[in-house]
Amino acid sequence: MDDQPALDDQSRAQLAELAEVIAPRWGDLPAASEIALSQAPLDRVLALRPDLLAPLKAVLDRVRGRPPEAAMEKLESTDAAGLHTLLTVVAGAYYAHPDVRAALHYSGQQAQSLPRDGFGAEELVIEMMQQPPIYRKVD
Amino acid sequence: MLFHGVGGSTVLFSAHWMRFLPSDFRVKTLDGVADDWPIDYAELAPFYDRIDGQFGVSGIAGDPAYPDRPEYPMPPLPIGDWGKRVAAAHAKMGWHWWPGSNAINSRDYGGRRQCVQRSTCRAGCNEGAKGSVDRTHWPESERHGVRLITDAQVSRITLDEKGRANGALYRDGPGPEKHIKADVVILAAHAIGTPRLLLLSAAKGHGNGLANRSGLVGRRLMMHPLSRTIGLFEEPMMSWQGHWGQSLYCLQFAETDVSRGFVRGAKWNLSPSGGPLMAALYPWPGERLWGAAMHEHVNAWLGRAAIWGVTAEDLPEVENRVDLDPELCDRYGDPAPRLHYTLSQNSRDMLAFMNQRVEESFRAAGAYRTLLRPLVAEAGWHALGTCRMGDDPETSVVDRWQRCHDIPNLLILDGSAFVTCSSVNPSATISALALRAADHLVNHRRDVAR
Repeated sequence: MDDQPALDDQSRAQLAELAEVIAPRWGDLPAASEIALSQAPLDRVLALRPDLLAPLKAVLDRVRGRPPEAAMEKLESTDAAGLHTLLTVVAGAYYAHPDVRAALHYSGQQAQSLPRDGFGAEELVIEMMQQPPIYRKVD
Repeated sequence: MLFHGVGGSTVLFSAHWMRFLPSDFRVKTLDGVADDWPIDYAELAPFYDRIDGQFGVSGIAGDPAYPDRPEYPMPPLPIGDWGKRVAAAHAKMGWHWWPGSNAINSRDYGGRRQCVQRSTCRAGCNEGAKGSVDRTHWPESERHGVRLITDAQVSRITLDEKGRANGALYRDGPGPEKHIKADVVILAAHAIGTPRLLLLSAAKGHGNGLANRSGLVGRRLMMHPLSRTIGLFEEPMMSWQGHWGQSLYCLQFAETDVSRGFVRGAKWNLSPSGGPLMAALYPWPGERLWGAAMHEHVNAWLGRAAIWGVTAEDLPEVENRVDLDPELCDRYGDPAPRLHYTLSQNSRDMLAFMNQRVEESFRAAGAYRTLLRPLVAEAGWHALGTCRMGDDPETSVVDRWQRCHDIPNLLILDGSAFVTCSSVNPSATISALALRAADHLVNHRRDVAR
C-alpha cells in the first residue's frame, strides 16, 4: 500500500491556483477555494480515478511557473488532452462536492421507482400506430 | 464497443435493441450499392423473437417503421419529459418516432431487477437491469457445464493435418502458451479482434490468414458514423435521470430517398443528458470550458438538455479494413490490429442532411439552442463487416450459417459477418444471427465430421 499523498504540496498549491480560474465563484456557486478543492475533493477524485494521477502530474509539470490564466490559455492552444485531464479532475472534484450540488439543486443520479402510469406518450403512440407502414417492401 | 471482460461489448453498450429493417438485407437489389445478404428479414424474424426473450427487451409493438412483430417481453421504459416534447413535435410534423426498445428491464425479469433510471448504463449497470451477457447468458451456461476461462487471450486458431480447426492457443497469465482442443471453434472477438486472429493464424495452406480465400478477411470495415446534437430547453426536465438506453427513436429518414442526394439512411435515438460533469466537459463549439463559461454551460444544460444521436448506415468498401500493425504489438508480442478507414462521401452527405433535420426536430420541440457535433470523433464503436457472409466462397468469408467457407468447423458469430450494417444498432442482429447459427450447428452436428 502506497501511503504517499497523491500530489505533493507544491503541486496541490499549483492545482489550487488553476482550480480557482476554472471554477470561480458564480452567483450562489462557491469558488474552488471555498470548498478547498485541492485537498479532500481532489483526493476523492484521484481515489476513484487513479488513472488520472499520472497525466495530471504531467500537465501540471508542463505549465509550472506560468500564471494560472496564462497556463489555461497555453493548454487550450497547445494541449487539448492535457486540458481535458485538468478539467476532468477539477470539474469532477467540484461537482461532486455537496455544497456545489446544493447550490445547483442537484441531488445526483439517484435510484428511482419507475412510474406505474405508463411510459408517457400513450395517445401519441396510438396515433403513430394508425399510420401506414413506412418501411420499404422488398418483395 | 470493445470491452475485454465477461460479457464483452454488452457490458458497456447502451442496450438500444433494434431489428434490422427488411430493406437492410437487400441493399444491392433496392439501391444498386453494396451487396444483398444471403438471408432476409423473414428468415431472421423468429430468431429476433427468441433473442428478445433471452436478453429481456422492453418496448411496444406496432411501430409502422417495421413489419408486424410479437409484443415485447416488457413494456417500454418512460420516455421522459424530453421524450414527450420530441414525440409531440414529431407528431405535429408528421415525422416518425417510437418509444425506445432497450435490452433494459422495465419489470423484474430473468432474475434481474428493473431499471432505476440512474442513467449510468454505459458504465455497466450496477442494478443488473441491463441485458448484458455476463448476466443473461453466462450464469445459465455455466450451470449447464460450460467452462469459462477468464483473463485468457487467444493468439492463434490451430488446424489439424486435414486443415480443420482443432483448437486455439492462448495465455491466461505468465508462462507458456496453452492449447485448448475443440471439435468446433467459434470466434466472437468483435469485427476487429476476429479478423486479427484469423490473420495472426496464418498457416500452411492459409498463408494470408485463415479462411481468407476471398482476400476479404479484415476488409469492408463499417463503423456507423455518428453525429450528436444537444437540445437545450428553458424548462426543467430532470434529464440527468433516465435510462441510457434510448428514450425514443426515429426512423423517418432510415430508408433511401434519392432526392436527398445519398442512398440509405440513418437512425436517430434520443437520450437524457447526464450530470453536471458531462455538461462541463462537453466541447461547446467555439467556447471556453472554464471560468464563468463552465458555470453557464452547466446552468444551461443540467436537467434541461436532451441528446439526439444519429447513426448513419455506412456502406462497405474494401479499402476500409483491419490488418496487422507492422510495429505495434500486444503484451505478448503479437501484432496489434491496425485500422484503415475513410469516411465516404455518401456518409458525409447523409450526416449533413440528418444534422439539419435534427435541428428542425429540436426547434419544433421547443429547444432554444442546439449544440451540434457533426461527426463524433471518438465514436465508431459499431465496427462491423470484416468477415462478410455470402454464398460464394470467392467473395465472402463465411456462409449463410456463419461457417467459414474454407474451414467449416470454424464459425464466426459476431458483427464481422455483416454484409451491410443497416443504420440501427447491431446487437439484436448479432445475437439473432448467433442463435440461428447455433441452432443450425446443433441440428447438423453429425455433418461436422471430426
